[in-house]
Amino acid sequence: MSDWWENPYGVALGDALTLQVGELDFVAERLPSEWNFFWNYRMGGVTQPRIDRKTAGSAEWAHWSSCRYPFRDPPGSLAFMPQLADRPLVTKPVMPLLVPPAESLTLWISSPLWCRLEVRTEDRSIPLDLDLPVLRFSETWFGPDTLNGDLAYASTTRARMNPYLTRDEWIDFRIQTPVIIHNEEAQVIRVERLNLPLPACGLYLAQEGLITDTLVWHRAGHGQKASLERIPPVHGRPVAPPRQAGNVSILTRAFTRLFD
Amino acid sequence: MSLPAAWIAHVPIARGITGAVILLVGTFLAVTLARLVERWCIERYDARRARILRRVVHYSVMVLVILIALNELGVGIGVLLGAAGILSLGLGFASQTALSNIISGLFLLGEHSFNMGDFIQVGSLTGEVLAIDLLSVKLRTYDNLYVRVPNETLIKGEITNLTRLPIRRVDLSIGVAYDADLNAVRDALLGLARQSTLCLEEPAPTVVFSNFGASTVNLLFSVWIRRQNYSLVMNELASGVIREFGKRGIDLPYPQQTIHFASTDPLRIEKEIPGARIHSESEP
Repeated sequence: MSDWWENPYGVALGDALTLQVGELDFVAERLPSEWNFFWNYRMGGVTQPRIDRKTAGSAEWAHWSSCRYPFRDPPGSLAFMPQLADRPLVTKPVMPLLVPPAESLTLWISSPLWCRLEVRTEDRSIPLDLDLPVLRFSETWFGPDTLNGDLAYASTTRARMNPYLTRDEWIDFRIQTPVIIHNEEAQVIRVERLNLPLPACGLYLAQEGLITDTLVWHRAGHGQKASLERIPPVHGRPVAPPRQAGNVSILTRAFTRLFD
Repeated sequence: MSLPAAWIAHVPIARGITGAVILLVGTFLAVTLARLVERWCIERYDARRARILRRVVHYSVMVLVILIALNELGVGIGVLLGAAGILSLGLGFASQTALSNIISGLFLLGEHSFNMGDFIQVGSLTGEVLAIDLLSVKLRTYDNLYVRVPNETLIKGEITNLTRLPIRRVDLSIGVAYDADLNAVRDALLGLARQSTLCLEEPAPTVVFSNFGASTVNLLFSVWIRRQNYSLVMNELASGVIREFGKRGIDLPYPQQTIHFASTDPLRIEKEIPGARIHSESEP
């Protein structure tokens, strides 16, 4: 597992730290009284993160999106803290998935990492509100009609049955969500779209890499209502808490509609 | 001695002071109570209702306080109420528009069609709602003009709330040449929507035949977007269509006219150039 995130990178005054990860090109410049950040997205992107050091003030990134954080004495290091997406992710299996009656299965759905920036001194960390995804998402609407529903990110999934990604699958910046489906009905369940309530999930580091809470969807027989549970992994180090832990209505909405 | 002067002369100083104290304390109570009610209402409902309720409470308490103070000063409330009745009858006739606006304001309040901060369209006006008052709604237009719209106008007319729903559809009418391959046009447009991160995947974008125009086949290209991205998407789509059509050799034709001549006789074409005269004749 790559350790490009979480560990702090020291940046000398007048220097720039560059990070290429996924489709994101990011530059952090440390100047005498401020940190300047620049970012841009490129088509295709890179499969493995690249970190480099350059001189601040290059014209290469002058036209990118940017922001400045003034400090009396700018902290000397910078860390990329992993986060889950800030909206639910609606993902379509590449091939429609049909769950036969009386079957249980675990799907592993991956979603791209977001980086929240943190500058650090020797004795404290200062979280910044700059929070960037490493891949660009399309957006979609998830709901019964255009009046009722939620905005979500859109993706496609191969809905793998095993948790292990290969290096080609951008393992260094993908987060996996285990989705367990119990079908106790007498009918086949057709999974055409899955709505993952990522802002309501915690992020953990486990043997499989970065994973979220497990979502357990249970469809009992005899016309009973389906239920959705969120279970933290047994062996996982917490990396980031849920973004919207306190927002009960969003949780309820997301959790009552795993499927369309 | 004039009438007010005679009346003042009959009011004992103690009652005058009491009346003034009632007025002061009452004003303080009215302001405090109105603020408390507003705070209570904001917690339970919204800022718009809270603001109106604050005013209702404030004015009601103030009327009560003034009546008590006048009573203390020896002015009979019964006489005052009688006078107020006659006065309100007169005022009622004179202020029909104001009353109509107040009642319309109450209906608007109940209907909950828009809130402060929403962007609404009323007739030819489009703007942000700055305030919803008893008589009128104040708007700030896109060109930063402050417009007062009477509540009566709002209740009678059509209001479009541009910011109520998080997503909206954007329609782009596109005319292509009659010899264009419509499937290729459709692929180009849908591909454009797929490439854009601003266009929503669901509801899916569509390309629908609209009509046979004078010079073009007209199509309606519709995409769904987050409402905040309206201008961005319009610009992105317009430049994207021109770029993509250029790449695929699809014409966006100018208006053109096909003329058929009934006669088979040769057509004489004459072109005049300053300083010279050229004659040509077309082949039969």
